Amino acid sequence: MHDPRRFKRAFMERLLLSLQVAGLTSKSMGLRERRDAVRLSSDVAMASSRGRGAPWARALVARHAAERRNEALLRRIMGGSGYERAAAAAAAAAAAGRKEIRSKKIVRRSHRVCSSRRKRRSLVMATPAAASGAMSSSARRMVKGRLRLLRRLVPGAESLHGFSLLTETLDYVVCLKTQVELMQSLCKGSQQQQQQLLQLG
Amino acid sequence: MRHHTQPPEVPGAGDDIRDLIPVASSASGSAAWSSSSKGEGGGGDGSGGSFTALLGLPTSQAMELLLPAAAPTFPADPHLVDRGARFSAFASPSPSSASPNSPPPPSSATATAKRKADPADRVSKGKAAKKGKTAAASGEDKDWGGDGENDKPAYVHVRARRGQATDSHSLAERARREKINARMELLKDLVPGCSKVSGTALVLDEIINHVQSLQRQVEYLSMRLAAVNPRVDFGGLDNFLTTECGRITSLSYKNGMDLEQVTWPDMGVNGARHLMQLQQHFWHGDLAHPLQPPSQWEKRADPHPPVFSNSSSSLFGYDLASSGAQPQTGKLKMEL
Repeated sequence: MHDPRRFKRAFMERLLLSLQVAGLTSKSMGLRERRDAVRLSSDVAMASSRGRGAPWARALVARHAAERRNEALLRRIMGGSGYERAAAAAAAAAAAGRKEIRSKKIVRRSHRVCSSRRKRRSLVMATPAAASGAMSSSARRMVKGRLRLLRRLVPGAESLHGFSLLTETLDYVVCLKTQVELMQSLCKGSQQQQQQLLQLG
Repeated sequence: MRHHTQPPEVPGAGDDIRDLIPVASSASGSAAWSSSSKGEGGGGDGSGGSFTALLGLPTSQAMELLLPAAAPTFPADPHLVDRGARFSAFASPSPSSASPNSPPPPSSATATAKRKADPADRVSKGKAAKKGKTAAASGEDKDWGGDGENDKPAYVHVRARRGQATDSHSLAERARREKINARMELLKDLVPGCSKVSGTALVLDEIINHVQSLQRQVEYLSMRLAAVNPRVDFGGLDNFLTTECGRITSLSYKNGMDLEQVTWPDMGVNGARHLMQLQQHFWHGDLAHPLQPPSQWEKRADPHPPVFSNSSSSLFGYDLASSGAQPQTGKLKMEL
């Protein structure tokens, strides 16, 4: 079984390290820049601790890598080779995404044509009733819409269907939770540290 | 494609229907969710067999794995996360042996799953169907466990329910639907406030809200961290951290984050030797962990004796203080 503590520990360590590397202590950055740097380093830390077993990790980093201005920071955090890999993944994802959108549009259009010809009623009622059991068409539509939303939310889940989508979400939610926890404790810790500094004068 | 094996083994009435459903079979019909079964087949490939192990768990166990009280854990797919663990840098036992294996398995896993699915594609149709349902990737799981590799069991043993069609297609669909429903259960347990909601769409709604709120929280926290930051010394932060894993980090900064080399034993709080009072004052974490204590730290601490800078009061600050000026040496070796 995967060890959650291990993940947390690794995540925290990488987080601290990447935050340090991000050079946040320099006063030259504005607040927004700093915030973006924090977010980026935290995402990278999370993704790298999660490892290769989860596609959302790669997609998350690729998302960051795709933006030009992050390049320097990412290079520092991940090392040159890591950055190259992430950039390659970003490019591949973009290309694949475009292709998929195009093909999906074509499929949808052909579906519409076919079903309008085949008199929707008979076809639609027959198969879904047999296949999906207890779902009315309106419910299915709602579910489909929500699934689409979910795909947009979870990184790297654009091409996933059904079961794998749920798996990815599950994973992602757990990791997000730990990310939030860790960042909260970081916040608290740094507050305490600063208090202590003030006390010591 | 399906052929009967050993027909004499299939007794007459009164016995169960055992149905072998190869997970990777493309014959599985459209699931409740997706219109393209190819996506399903591809998606179900990875976790189907291992998932049934989860199905075998009573809900309480599965929940126990997930509840934050026990620290948030991962989806309990042993194989999925096994793969993840193997690929991640923390596969401590034998990183060297793991790494040569790691590139081939993802490509071969699906290949082997598909290959094994076809020859063993059997359906033995009996007459009576028993009530209830068990899904257990029985012997296959143990085989794979012994393999130690990333092969996933390709079979799902499914018992048909009474009065339901024993069509191979509908059985496969039902198995998939059960998988999906079990996943939804997991998600419901994970997302707070979902248990009273019934109906897939509403649960999905809750999940989406939860994900969005988590993401928003991350943004807000990152803003806070950014605001508090100018004077924060991250190296010295270690002893202030109060997460569940307690005494967190052993930043061996000098080597960069070469996590392939770093094994993760339970690193004890070596600082017990040093800033005892301060530590007890600030350390809300778990001091009671079994420590493989200072021995490992001794080795590392020797070349760089700790520097007690007042400003940071850091236990691990020795390396960092000295190498703070060279951020380039610290790199996260990405395991992606």
